[in-house]
Amino acid sequence: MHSFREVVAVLERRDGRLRGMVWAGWVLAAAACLAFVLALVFALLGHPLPAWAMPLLAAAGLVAAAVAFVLRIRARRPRCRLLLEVDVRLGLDARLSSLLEMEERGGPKLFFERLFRDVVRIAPDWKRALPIPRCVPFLAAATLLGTALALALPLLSLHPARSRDVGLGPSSSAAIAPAALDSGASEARDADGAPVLNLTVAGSPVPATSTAGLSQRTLSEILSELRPALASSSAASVPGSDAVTGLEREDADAALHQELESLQKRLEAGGQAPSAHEIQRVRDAAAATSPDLAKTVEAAAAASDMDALRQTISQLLSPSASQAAPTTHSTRSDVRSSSDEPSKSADATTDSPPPSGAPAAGASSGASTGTKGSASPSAAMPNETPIFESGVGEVAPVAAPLVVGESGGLSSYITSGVPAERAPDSTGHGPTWRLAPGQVQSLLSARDLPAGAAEIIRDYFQRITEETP
Amino acid sequence: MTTEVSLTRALDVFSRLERVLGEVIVGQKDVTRRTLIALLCRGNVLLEGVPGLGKTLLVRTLSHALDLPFSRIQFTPDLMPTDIIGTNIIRETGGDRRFEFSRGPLFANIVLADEINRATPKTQSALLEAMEERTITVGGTTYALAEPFIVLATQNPLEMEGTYPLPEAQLDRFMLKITVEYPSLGDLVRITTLNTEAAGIVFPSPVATGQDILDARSVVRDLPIAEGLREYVARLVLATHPGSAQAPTMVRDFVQYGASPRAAIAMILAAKAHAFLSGEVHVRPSDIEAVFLPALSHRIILNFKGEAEGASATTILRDVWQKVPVL
Repeated sequence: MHSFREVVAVLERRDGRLRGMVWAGWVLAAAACLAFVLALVFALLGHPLPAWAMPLLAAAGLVAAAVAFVLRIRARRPRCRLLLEVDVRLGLDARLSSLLEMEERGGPKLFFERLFRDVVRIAPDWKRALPIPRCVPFLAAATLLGTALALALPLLSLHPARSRDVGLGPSSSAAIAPAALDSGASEARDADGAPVLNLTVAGSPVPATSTAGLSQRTLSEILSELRPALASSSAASVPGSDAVTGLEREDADAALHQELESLQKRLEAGGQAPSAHEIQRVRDAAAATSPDLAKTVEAAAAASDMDALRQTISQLLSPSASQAAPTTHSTRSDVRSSSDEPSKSADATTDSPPPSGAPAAGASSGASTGTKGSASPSAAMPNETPIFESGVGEVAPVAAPLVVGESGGLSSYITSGVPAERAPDSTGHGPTWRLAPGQVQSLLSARDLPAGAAEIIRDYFQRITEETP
Repeated sequence: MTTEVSLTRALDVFSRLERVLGEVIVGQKDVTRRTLIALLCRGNVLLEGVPGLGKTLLVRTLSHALDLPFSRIQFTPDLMPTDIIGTNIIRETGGDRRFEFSRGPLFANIVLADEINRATPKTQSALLEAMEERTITVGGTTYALAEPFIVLATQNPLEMEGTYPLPEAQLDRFMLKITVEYPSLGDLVRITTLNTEAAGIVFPSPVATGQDILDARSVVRDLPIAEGLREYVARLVLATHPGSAQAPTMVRDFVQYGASPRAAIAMILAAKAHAFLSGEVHVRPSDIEAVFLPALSHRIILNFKGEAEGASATTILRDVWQKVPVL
């Protein structure tokens, strides 16, 4: 059995906790209202709410609530008022407060004992006067969880922006917001273990539905922004890079063109077959442009058929061929075909159709289509990185500009420069293209693009990575 | 200090007293109890009611039950102060003349001031010292009154012609103002039966002595009252003041002066006595409620607007009671 002092002590503790919780709740509510007003004001002003604002408010609200809780517990209210309140709640007719009066001011022990006996008899469960609701632990947990979410979600959404500064690696790309992965896009991992987005091409039964929040910029707009930057980049490309790009390739093209023209003139003049030295020179010039082209030239020369050689040279000198030659490299690996797609020999390049589900860039130019087909064998290598390796000035225009994230038009995103690869068809809904945002950084690094162009590309991939359904 | 014995005895005495009073004063249980409350609190009572309701009978019955000296003063317009407090008279003993104080009817333990509002204010004021200080000063000599001392005054609210309303200072000295209401049908039948039988009214034998009353007063004063309730009483009293922040609208509109601190003291003491008579050993909010109107109703002075609109102190106090919460 408790003594009166113990009863008072317990009631004071419970009262302090209850009042502390009430105060903490008010403080949290005030913080929530402040956050709401802040968001409203920013929305009305048309400015985006800073990403750090909500986490800061949540943290500040939590700290303030904790401080209010502690302060309220420490600031105990007068015992007489507390006990009178308990008396009223329990229907004790001021017995507890009278007991307190007698304890503090003295009084007949007879009255004290009798009153305390009455208290215990009337309200044996006197603690229920100040009940701590059962829902309080759940509310507290929900509050903490909500605050943690408020802290975590903006941080997660900040991640890509932050990773722009520190570089996107496989580990960092693993932190892509789950919401973006869950809403219609299934998660998969590439050979490096980095997560990639599975995008279903147009016509797939799996719809790409959500366009909410996506930028309303069209892909063509993005590409039109890219082109000037890429053009300047190709002019300022660094010599010695692995890919044959920029001025070097232009020189090589000119040299090859010159060699082929002289050879063609001699053949048309009824001259003799080219000597081994001439063929070697043409092959070197072609090799400087493209190894495949060198193989073509070598095969034509080895045929010892003058007509065939002449035809080949005229084809190579034709305007369409001169345009297609660099495109061969540009489209060779930007979109990697599925590994089970049959490889095609270099001889069959001119007539080979584009691979099924090929990007829209393939359809943009009929002349380049055949050449793209010639590039596909090397692009189909399963272990090859799906990074767009060749010249940066060949980003093909999109045939049908689409709004980013627009439903059903996702295949349009798989254009030149997009680090995508064809994923195994696990759903049975048709060909699926996997987007590997983690490889964007390596793509940009390999390209050595100027900062402006890299920023635009990175921004593009960030948008479709975050907001692609 | 109160002991089990003293508490039991006091409770026993007053339960018997209440019972015997109830046997004579039919249908006026509240009046009886409030009279005993005033007796327990060393207070005085103003009994207000139309003639024939048993006001005088109550006082006479009480005097019989207490076995204490009782005096009745019929107040009339020509009644002089010396008529009630006494006067010095010249007494000649063996050729030696000297002044000797002749005690008036106030020198009793139970004084019935019947129709007190018929006397002049001068005579009414002669009661002031006796009622508050329990002393009487005549010719420079102060005489103490015997305890227990209680003045029970009656007044008729209807016949106002030729009356002198009691001044505020006089009213404030009455601890309780008890309004005697008409009895119910059943009680009235019983009253007629009691008064028309052969035996008539049989006054009770004494059931308590003066010392019993004094002992019971000590027990009542030992009863604890919570600080919160004491504060509650203070808030109630303050709420009767039109200038107070706690005052309800009705008080601000109709009241000129509110209750005095003496009213708060009277309320707390009366609440203690009420709790005691209820068999409790502490004051409850219901005890305060029971004595709220009797302790304050004669201490509220209405302003002209209140008088003109017929507002009553009881109505205003009920509004105060509703507007001032315990917590």
